[in-house]
Amino acid sequence: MLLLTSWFFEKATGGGAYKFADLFKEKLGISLDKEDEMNCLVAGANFLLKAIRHEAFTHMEGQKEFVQIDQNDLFPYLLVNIGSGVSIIKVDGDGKFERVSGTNVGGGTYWGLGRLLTKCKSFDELLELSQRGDNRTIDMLVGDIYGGMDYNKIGLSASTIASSFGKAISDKKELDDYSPEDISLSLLRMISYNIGQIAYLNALRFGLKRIFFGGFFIRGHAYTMDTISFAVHFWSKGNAQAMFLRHEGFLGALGAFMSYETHGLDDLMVHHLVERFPMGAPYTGGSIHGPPLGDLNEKISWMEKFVLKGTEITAPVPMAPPGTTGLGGFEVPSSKGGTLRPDASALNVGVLHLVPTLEVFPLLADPKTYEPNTIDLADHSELEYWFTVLSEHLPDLVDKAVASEGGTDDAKRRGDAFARAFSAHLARLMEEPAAYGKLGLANLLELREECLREFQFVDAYRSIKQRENEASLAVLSDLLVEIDSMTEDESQQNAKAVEGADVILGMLPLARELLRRGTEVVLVANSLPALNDVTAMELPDIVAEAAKVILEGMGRAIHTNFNARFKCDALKE
Amino acid sequence: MDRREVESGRNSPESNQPAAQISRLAIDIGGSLIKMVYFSSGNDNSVDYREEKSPLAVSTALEGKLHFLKFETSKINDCLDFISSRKQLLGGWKHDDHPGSDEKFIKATGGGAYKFTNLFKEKLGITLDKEDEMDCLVTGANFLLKTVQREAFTYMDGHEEFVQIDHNDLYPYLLVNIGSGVSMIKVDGDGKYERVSGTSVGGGTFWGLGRLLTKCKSFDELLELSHRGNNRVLDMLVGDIYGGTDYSKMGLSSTTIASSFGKAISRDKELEDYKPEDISRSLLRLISNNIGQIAYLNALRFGLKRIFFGGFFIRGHAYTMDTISVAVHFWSKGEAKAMFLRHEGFLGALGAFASYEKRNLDGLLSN
Repeated sequence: MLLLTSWFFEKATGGGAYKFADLFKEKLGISLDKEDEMNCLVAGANFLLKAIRHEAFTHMEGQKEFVQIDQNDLFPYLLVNIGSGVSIIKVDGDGKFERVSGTNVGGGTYWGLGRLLTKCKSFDELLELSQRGDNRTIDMLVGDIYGGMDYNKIGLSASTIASSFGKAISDKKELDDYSPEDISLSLLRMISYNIGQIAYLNALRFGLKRIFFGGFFIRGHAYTMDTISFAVHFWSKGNAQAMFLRHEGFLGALGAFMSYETHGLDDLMVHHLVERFPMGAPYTGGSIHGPPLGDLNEKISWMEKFVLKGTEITAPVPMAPPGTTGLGGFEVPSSKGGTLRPDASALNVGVLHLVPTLEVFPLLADPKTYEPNTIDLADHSELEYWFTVLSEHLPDLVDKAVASEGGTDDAKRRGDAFARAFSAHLARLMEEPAAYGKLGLANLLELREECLREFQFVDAYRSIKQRENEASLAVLSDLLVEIDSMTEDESQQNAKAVEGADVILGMLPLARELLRRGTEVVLVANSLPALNDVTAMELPDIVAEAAKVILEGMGRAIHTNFNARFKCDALKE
Repeated sequence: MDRREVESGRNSPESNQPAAQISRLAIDIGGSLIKMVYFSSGNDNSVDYREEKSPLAVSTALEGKLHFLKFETSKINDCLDFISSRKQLLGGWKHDDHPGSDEKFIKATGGGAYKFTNLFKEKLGITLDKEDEMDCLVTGANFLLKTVQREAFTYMDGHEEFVQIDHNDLYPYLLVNIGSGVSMIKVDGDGKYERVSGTSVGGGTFWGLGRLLTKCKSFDELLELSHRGNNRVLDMLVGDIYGGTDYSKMGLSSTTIASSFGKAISRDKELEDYKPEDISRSLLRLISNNIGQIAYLNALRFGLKRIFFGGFFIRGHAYTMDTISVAVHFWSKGEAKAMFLRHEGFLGALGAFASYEKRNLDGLLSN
């Protein structure tokens, strides 16, 4: 989000913009253009929900699930922005919204009260404490009042909180006798639950099924999201759903940025943006620290220094089971003890690359539900398998990449840096598969390609392909002569024989054959030596008329698009 | 008062006892407090120091007084001692299902009625005859609203105004009982109700958090402190964020609280640097405002215009009532009204008391 940070200074939002306008003018000579805060929030949320794939997700009992929003069926929704206080906004369209409610019990309350009660030095420290807390020492539960029994008649189980901090009325214990961990958890549950409840009551008022929660209070914190989700689920009896945004902390800033109308970003569609995760992503949890890295050399030396200083961070760390709340969402988090990371759920956000020339492939049967990935790495066994494959293959890939650049010392240094950066990505993803959003095999392979490109390996397989192409071209003419001599039946039977150099000895003869029969043939290839989705295909107008789609190659037809449906016949090879 | 429907499977306290049977006691054992209601015959003028409200005079076929007492649940022995000292007053009445037995019963409600069953049995030889908590709250509230004059009142800007309730136009209403936690009950008639919502941010939260933050020794002391406090010290107001100008476009004035305790995030000050008075005030506003808001949202859901607030948290405390009223007024844009009950803390205990005998109580206390 480096780009947006710099924009943020010019295009300010949040109450602080009003307060600090003079300061900015005086110290920096920059005048703040005070965009209306709500406007910014709504514009930011609409943009994210429309333009970024799998921006929204649900979070129940420690399980994240990405939701693809149909942009034609986005409105109306309820946007709950949890900053210091909480704003609850009903959104009916672009620029059409109303602040219908809010509450003064928000992130500022958690942090303010938490600081007074625990002497924590930072919000994150307070949040981290809650991971190890047990709220039962401070909260009065239904079971405490009913002597361990449920109050079934009105649907309250013994573990339901009857009164937050209700046990602290005991005159046997003072503040110092309670552990800061327990206090933090009680406070977090009180506030998250309250926000979830008020949000749901407002959604009910306007008949809204979808509630999106954003703002800095959440910080991708699993327990916070679980508690809010539980509250919404509990009060709505499962009819309403709490959803969260990956870029939750940037709503206001994004919206302020969006208000530069000249950029014409309003019309962006989901396929115009590609999110990429630069090498720093695994370390930073989404926020970029330190000076901006300008050139390749800086990147490499940063990588070298960082990995030398902090190898322990890049190694996969012990991970608690994904569930954080146990049954009912009201129990204590199970991810206690032995957890090195502050929170299993922290999400990384990448840099959004704008590619306005991209169009949706017109022959997809249903572009809305199109999912290129054949293999979803949310399946843990798949995940482990592919991580092993990629890790084991890494040294070989580095050798090939270095060779493709002539095997110079510079290439070797870049190769090392690439290996470190990609290992860090892998470690981060192993730790938190959803850290970069929904993860399919294609995304992972694309991440590897992107990482190679970041260290300026234009095409790692260039020299190998050159060799193969030369060999294939040498036999091409013989093959064509052979094919021409075949009858129709024979050529079909021998289709399987042409493998290996698939394009030259496979696709070219096929195209030639089709052309000879009077068919118009469009040959499409990627501009980058990578695994790109069909959405990236160009020449849409020409292709739209096609009667048949032939997808060829492992990247195009097996681990992506294998399950894709098209409007016309499709051959996947 | 109408006969309440008794749930199937429960012992019906159908009474065939003589009307002269006058000494009765019922308790509501909550998470923090035990509320007691008992009836004494006409010539008893003793007043116990634990009495929370002046006794309610009764003069129909029966002459006497209803007494309202409270004990802390953590000091339940005080309550046991009190009952033990009055045990002779309890003599004579027996459980309807066991007319031959000498076993003594007390009507009891609240979670503690379950939790402390054995304690009462062992120490006093008394069986707690349990009544459902929500049943009792509703029975108590209906009873007060229908039979006690000048029971309900509104409170705005320090001004108390009694509300005359038309018996035929009482239902439906929202009953918000603020004890340690908060129950919100939609009441459609005698024994006809539904617990529609609630919140864990209630009286226990005020007292529990308040104790941790201020070292106060009692709930009343904490409330007392709030009188002299200023919430602007700790609360982040809209004006603090927007540099003193109103954020009027959203209907927020500069004095609206944007974030309760939001100013406490400052690194310059620790807990000791804040005055207990200011802390208590901010806490009271946080909780009252929140309850008022959730109550209003629930009233809106069911189209209820009247919201009655009861429970021990309120304690006739002006600022508490004011904050709740303002919250309801603010969120409903003046459409809904918060009302309070003079015997707010005793709804459950009264309901349990009333369950002794529906027939004879009907009209008994209509004075």
